[in-house]
Amino acid sequence: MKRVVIKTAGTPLTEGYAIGFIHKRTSSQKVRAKKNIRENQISKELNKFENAIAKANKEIDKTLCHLAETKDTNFNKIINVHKSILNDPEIKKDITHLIQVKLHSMETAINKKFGEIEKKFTSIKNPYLKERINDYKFVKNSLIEEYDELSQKKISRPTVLVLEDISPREVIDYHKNKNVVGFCLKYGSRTSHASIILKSLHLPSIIETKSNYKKLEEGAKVIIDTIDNTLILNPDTKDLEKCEEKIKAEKAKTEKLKLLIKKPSLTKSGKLIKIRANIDFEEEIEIAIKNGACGVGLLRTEIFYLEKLTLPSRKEQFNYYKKIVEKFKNSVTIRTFDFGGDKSLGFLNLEKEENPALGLRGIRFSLKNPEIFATQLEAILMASAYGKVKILLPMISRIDELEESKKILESCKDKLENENLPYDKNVQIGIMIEVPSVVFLIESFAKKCDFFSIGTNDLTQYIMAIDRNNNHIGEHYDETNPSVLAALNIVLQTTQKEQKPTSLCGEIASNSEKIDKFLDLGIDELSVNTSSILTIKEKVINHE
Amino acid sequence: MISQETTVKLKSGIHARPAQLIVQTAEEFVSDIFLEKIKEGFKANAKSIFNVMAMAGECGDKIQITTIGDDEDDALEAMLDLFDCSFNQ
Repeated sequence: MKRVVIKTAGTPLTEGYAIGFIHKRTSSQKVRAKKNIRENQISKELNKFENAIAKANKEIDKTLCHLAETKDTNFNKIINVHKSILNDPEIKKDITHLIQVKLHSMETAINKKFGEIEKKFTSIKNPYLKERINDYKFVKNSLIEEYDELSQKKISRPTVLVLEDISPREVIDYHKNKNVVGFCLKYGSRTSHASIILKSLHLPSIIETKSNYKKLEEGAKVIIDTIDNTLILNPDTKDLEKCEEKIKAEKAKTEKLKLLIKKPSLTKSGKLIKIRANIDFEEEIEIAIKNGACGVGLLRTEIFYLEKLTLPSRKEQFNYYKKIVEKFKNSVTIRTFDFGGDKSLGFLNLEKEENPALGLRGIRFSLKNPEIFATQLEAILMASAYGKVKILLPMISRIDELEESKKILESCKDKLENENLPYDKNVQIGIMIEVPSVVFLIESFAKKCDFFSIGTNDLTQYIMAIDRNNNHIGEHYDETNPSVLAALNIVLQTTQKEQKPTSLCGEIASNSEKIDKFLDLGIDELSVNTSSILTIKEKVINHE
Repeated sequence: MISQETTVKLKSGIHARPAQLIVQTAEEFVSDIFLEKIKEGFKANAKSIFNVMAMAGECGDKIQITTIGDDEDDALEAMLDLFDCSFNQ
């Protein structure tokens, strides 16, 4: 096999090296696993179908269980419809027939039957009925996704996954397999949710490989070098030796950074910069502790939906928040659900928006779904009995959104009082600064909330009108553009005058190349990816 | 086998939620239950949500309900009740 060195134009997500065998999956393969089966495989295939239904039923029952607790009748109705579709005897009969008689694989049979259903729905005139096709699509996906999860278990040697694109949920699923050592993605962008998760897992990953995608053949050995931004296909012994050496050097560097863990994060002029951790999911807690984070500056909570695909109950959320608060007693900032944009909400997000970045996301979603919002706020309040918890609201763009949220928070407090449950009566509430309107009204906001957190990803996107996920113009997306820095300057002048703590928590806070510019502005609180804590600390210590 | 005719009184027609209620109610009986939209001769298995939705019953449509089995009387009555009280909506 010929040795090929590919200089990729793609963007590296994490600095590192990996050696593994390529496992490739294209989107179409994902669905068309195997088209047909042989006669002696019928019973096995029918069994697989039964199992997929049983598993999906279990998931739905779990959701219904949670719903009984929240008494959310609207979603209850949707989920009951899903259950009826999943167990529809006519659909089942037809799919079984396709497997038994036409010798289709389960996936082909499901796709065929649901394709027919979709066709039927396009001919229905009643608009209420017409849009229910989404419910069928959801059920179809939950049946076929089951299969996908199974296929991941087959990975048994060091593997570099080569994919067109990946969802946050898939990243987590794949990560559970320790043999997955790296990723190459054809599409995707460095600030998408999946990328953020890949980053914090510290798996060497290159995204936007585009033109090189074809060259990466199934089963070939490959070296990923995200520092040189190269891929070496079918490496020779020399390459492998070199790479192993680099992996060793990388380890040594990590060891050296570890010496900083106990050091205070003071700049050369003696200013204390608080470095906290961004946490997306449970596995990161240990990494954050190990790297000496002085708290959690941003606890993202969307993972509840990404990972479980069911509605999380108050108790389930409370247990999760409590676990983190108990580890970081002095400071945990919990951001309420930030759905929308590239973070869709599985089965609840039925409507496709024309312009999701300007659509129903963050606090807008929560205020439209007060049951979900209140359940979360109650869970956060309950966790506040165990340590210092702050509540952070995403995507605030108007004063009345903050006011309404505070009202809901008060009613949640009343509810806990009635239930005799302990919580911190002085729990602080703050907002994300990620919409330009907040910059213009910063003085009014500063009088109505306790703290601020700057989300540079969205703020930059909205100030510059550049879609951060768009491959054509993404290169002009720059969080250090003078316009963004000027906006932050306005914000910091006011928040410092009003003595409202303001932290920087966007991707940029984890960027060791650019962080100096933000420290120059007077930022003294950072919240960074767990894997970047020490490199950022090194930067802070060397800052004038 | 017994059957009786009824009318869809629901303004928005038999959409997702009523369809789900039909299925949920039908599942309580061992009898086979069929709904037939008389206008088109479309016959739906009342235990199949896809069938019931695909029937796309509109307000004013005449529906023939047929039940076959041990508990066909109770089943027919339960179905008629659903249509008569407009699916509790």
